[in-house]
Amino acid sequence: MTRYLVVRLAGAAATLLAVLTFVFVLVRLAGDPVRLMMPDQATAAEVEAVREALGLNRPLIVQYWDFLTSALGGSLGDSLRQGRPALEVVLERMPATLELAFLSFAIGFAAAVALAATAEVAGSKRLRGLFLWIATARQSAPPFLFGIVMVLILSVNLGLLPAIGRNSWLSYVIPVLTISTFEIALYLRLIGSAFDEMREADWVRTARAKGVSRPRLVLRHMLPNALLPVVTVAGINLGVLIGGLVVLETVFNWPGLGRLIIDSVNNRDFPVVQAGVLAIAASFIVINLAVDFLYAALDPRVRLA
Amino acid sequence: MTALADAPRPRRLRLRPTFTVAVAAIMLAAVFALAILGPLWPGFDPDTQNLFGAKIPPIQDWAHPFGTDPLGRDLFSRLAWASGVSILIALAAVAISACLGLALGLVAGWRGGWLDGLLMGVGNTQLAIPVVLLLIVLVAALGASTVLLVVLLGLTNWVAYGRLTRSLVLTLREQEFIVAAKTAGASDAWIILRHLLPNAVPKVLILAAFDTGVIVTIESSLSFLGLGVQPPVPSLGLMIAEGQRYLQTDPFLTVFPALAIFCLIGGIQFAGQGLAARPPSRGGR
Repeated sequence: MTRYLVVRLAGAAATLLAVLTFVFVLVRLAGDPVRLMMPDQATAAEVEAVREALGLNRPLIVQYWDFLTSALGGSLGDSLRQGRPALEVVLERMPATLELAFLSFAIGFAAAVALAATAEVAGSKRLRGLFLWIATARQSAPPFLFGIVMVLILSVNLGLLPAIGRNSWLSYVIPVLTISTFEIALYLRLIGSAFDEMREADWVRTARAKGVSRPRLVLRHMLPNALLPVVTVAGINLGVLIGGLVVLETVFNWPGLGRLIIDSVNNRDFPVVQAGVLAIAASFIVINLAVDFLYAALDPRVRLA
Repeated sequence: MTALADAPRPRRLRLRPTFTVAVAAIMLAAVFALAILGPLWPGFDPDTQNLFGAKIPPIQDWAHPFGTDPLGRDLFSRLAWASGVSILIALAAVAISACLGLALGLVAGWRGGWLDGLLMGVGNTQLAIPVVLLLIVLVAALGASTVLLVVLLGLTNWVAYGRLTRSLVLTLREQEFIVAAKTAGASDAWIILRHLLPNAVPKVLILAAFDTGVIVTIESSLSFLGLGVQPPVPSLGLMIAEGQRYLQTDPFLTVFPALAIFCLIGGIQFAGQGLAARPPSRGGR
């Protein structure tokens, strides 16, 4: 168990280091960082002075080391537009994004479990086919597109919900509906195929033979076993969910991390872009680490491997 | 008893896939017909602007069957061209990622060792940043252009193919015909090209088919943000972004490109579902 945890922790640390390196290189790819900060009419001497002051004339490897040590110390430079620490700007926006991500994930996942279990309890392939059909149709519209259609119907035509912003709980409805329904097809397929595999298993037959009712068989015996492999995919798929969210926040003018990053990209405020990418990657790494540990806690075979 | 009750009923099972495949075929045929036949229409002109004839609704003027956009350009022509652009971008990007993932997965799986560790490490790092976000920041750093978009889409999506190929190779390498080839003195290149590659290609093609829909989703999202296909080339995502501003007064500007995206992605998804090939999970272990 300890060995498993140590290996996973080391892997997570290595990934984080690689992401740090990536954002360091990214800004160098974008061109001269000093030129980005200075007004266009600045003289060459002024540019050199700033370069000197920021230590950007030193060898790249020294800059890289400096970047790493200050990043580990929690400093990622100042926002070029706001003059405040980039990390502070990013952390301010994180709750709005995490709220949406977790709400949408929880609702989408719960809906997929409920639909798969309903079809299984009913023992109807036709019903599951229908659910899967609707979920696939939904998945065929990218989140930004579905979001706009929802705004068109629910806000513009029916006037039921606010179209943009984050002012009341009503403003959560369209974004959460958009992201959560996008997720259903994936989990419905995974849980469904897990059910297919275990339907003929000996222990299912034994349970049926001893007279376990069908709802109990599905909910207490099959479902926990079906969810186990889904946990890993859910951790990885969270990246797809957050990716959709980044785009969606622009559609709904949602004051989250995604819109901040896109605004900063348009303003060429690279320290904020760096901090934003790092924040998302770090959350993703932490969540997947938690998933690995959860998996080990749920399945003793993993620990022994 | 149980065996009897659970016996497959082929008559019922055969109907549903056929229906789903038919729906998929209709959706794909509609988009492909639009993209291929659209440019043959005599009135095809996606570029000419006419501010006096802007936002003409559909069916009113037969010179513009789908109406005109906010700059007075013919919407049907733009839609046809944009659909073609989306299809070509997705196919090119998927080809790049599939070839790259196949090549890296074959070598990593067969050779193992530090190369394997390095490739899988790069893959893991890439998965830590959502692909859409990765593309947004790369486009921001390198500048937006359509060719660059195709290359970046290809380079950022190889991980799923690499992992799939690698896991296939890991199971294949223990099998007798590979061991036999090795014992007979076949070189690494021979084994990889003549034995491993042909066995990996079919599964990679299935993943590629599903992946095409995912790539269309990503490309249209980026174009919607203005970070993908660059004007004056029309793209479905950009058309929706332009139409969004007139959602209340002229929803047709949004509805037509939305339908095209829906048919393109939906056609791919339903085809996969109907053909009963279970989609391989992207990035699964």
